[in-house]
Amino acid sequence: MLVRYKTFPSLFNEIDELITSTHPVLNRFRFVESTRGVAMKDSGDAINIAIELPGIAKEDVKVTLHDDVLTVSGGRKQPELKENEQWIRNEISYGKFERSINLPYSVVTEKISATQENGILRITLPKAEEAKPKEITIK
Amino acid sequence: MTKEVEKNFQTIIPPVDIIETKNSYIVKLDIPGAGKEHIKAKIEDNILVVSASIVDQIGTGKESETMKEYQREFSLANDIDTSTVDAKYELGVLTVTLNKKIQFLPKEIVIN
Repeated sequence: MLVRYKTFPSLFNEIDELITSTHPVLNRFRFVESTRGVAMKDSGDAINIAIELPGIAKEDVKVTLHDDVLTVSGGRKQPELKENEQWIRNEISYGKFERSINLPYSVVTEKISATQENGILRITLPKAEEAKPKEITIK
Repeated sequence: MTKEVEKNFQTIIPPVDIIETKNSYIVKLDIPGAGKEHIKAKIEDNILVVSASIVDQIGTGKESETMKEYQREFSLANDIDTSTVDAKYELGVLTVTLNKKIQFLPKEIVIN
């Protein structure tokens, strides 16, 4: 059961909130869901987390684990306008972000792996032996 | 991907940045998780349509497969040269460069 992560506000929800609040006509397109921005999945032996980080290079992302809280932080640089350039529209948010996720199981910290591709950070956290599902034989 | 899997569809309007430069408009859209092959951009009747279909964001499994649909349309003013549009996809961001027609570029007038 992965219930706890829904209690965390999503960066992308906030972006969505910002768009819809500044453009009332977009209200009918609201799709704020807990799956937006962060997806967490229990695949039996491991927990898989995917986080949307568009426009952010992997050098600008930091992943840390403290107790059972996984924290992803980093920053997205605002494009600098040159002379003769001007903003027509700016909906993408820039700046620092930090996101913490409570892990529902204990994990093997030495075996955590992460990859980043096409703006998605994927983290695989192998479960500790005691957290893995076990089948119980009925006698 | 099997047909039996129940898909959850979401249509997302990707946030956009538009910067006007001297010669062009640069349009940036956040479409994380797509490969180049999943993104479509076309111009029809002076409307730029950008769309993408992305399957299984988390990339691990079957039962909670999610389909995300991104779409956004932009109506183009007549100062854009639709024959020289350039698009690239990097770090989950699609950048479309729309060049201005030559006759709309700023001209400096020499005072004699």
